[in-house]
Amino acid sequence: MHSKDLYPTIVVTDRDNTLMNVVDTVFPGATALLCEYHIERNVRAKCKTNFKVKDLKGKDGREIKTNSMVKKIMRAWKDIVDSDTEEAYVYNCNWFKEICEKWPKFGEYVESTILGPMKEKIVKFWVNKVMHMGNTTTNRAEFTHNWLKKYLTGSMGDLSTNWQQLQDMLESHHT
Amino acid sequence: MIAGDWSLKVGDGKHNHDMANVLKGHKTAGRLTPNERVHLYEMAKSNVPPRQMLTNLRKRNKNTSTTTKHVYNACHRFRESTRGSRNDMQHLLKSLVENKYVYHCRNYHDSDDVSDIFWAHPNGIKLFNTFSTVLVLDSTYKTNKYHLSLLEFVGKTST
Repeated sequence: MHSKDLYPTIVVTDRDNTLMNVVDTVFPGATALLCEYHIERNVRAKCKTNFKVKDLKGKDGREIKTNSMVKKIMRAWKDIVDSDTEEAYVYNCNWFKEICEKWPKFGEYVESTILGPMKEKIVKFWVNKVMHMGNTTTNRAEFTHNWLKKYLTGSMGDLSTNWQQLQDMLESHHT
Repeated sequence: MIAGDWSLKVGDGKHNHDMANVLKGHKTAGRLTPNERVHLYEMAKSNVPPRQMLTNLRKRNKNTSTTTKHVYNACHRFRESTRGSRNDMQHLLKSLVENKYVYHCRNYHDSDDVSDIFWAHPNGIKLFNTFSTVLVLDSTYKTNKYHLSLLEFVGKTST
């Protein structure tokens, strides 16, 4: 990439602070996006740690299972991410907050650390303003790592064995 | 030893026991046949772990008395034969050149130690020249014994 014209216009990263900060300086003019999948995982993890079984009581006094609650929240989260207009985003956000009312800590976390500073980087309405051609996750890279590691027989191989195994992988891929 | 100090007298030169029924563990009996050796080398080439090679040999010949030790030795000999006297780095560079890879090595400023190596498959380069719109980079760890991280470049084609 010798010419400035060839600089990428879009950079998708996971939520690694150093990576996020450096994108602006290395590729000025590029739009930084965040990996949808990583964010989703983060929200889900937070969701699970914040919910205790004891505070799960339905309206009719019956216990609600943690799983079904997490599913409900994640569905609301997905709606937020998928909002394609600003109104829809506000509406979905309110709905999400309503569900999370009982767990203010979780609601606050999502609000202040994820939606607040980075909504432009994950919510469809803002993301779809730039041409990302469907690349809103870094899954492809993760998938290749996984695949590659099936070919590498261990973590202690030397370089030429590793290379040979990599070569086998590539050759079977490029038909 | 001074001659004449002691002597050995063979009383009865015959074996006093029959041949064992099972020859497992017997060095000569467990030797690989040339066919088996070729087969084993082929398996080693496609990264079959040695522990599974024996299962395969057993399936081909039920009465084989080859042991894991034989298999491991053969694998080792195979590796030695492909690599010869070259060390890891030399062998890597040789394979890179032979397969027409594009590669580049860097070393630390103050020594000859290699700090990082880049290589690209010729097909990969062709593909990148055609489909250079999307490129995913990510590094992964625990791939080699030198604790070097592996940075992978993944492209995306339109089809």
